Amino acid sequence: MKLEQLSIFLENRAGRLCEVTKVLSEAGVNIRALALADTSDFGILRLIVSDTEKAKHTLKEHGFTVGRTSVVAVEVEDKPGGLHRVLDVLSKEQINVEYMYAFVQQSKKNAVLIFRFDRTDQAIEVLKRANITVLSGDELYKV
Amino acid sequence: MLIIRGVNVFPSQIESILLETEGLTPHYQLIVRREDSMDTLEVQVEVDENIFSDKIKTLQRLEKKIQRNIKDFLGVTAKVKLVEPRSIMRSEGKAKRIIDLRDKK
Repeated sequence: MKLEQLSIFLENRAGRLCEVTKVLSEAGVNIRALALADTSDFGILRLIVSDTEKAKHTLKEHGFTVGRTSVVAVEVEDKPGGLHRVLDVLSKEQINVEYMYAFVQQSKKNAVLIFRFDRTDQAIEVLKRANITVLSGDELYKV
Repeated sequence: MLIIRGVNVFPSQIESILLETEGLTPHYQLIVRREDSMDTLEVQVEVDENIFSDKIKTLQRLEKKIQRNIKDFLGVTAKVKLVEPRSIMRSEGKAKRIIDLRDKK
């Protein structure tokens, strides 16, 4: 129940992000979710895309440093307390969230939370035990 | 050779520090500037897949580690900047490792 996320190293200067979207656009890869972490000098772009392998290959061809990481996608109701319930469960089990981001699916009434854990397998187990919906990759990669 | 705030710095010394730091490629460049009559040294290092991480803290730790090693071995404080692969100019023959932006007066 893990999801493949791409991460891309970017220097913090004008036009770099645009270069990534250009490459993905030309390759016909759709971005399903994205988060950008930044420091003064560099940023790390994290993406969930429709075709991970193709995106990685194409970006590498264009000289980007690309990494691949397993993350966990969780579906919650899009209403107050949705995220809190999940974090509460994780917190009680002392599971640290390395980083996370979220998006709302147009087709459904639910929100999707993407989590990066250090102890991914344990986190999935804890979430499932609490009856929280963990999404598979196929459910998310497709539009 | 460079003289940064009275300390002699040979690019080859920086190179061996980088190579001893796990996973680093020898693609680096030294930028010397003069700010408020103080010389500053910036070491630009390319990030390839061996050292890249999706976590900010891992990359920042790497920057600090390189910085600490340079300080320990050479006695000079340098700013370490991670840059994208192939962003440092490749030259045929002798690599241009030093960009000295100090005003020559």
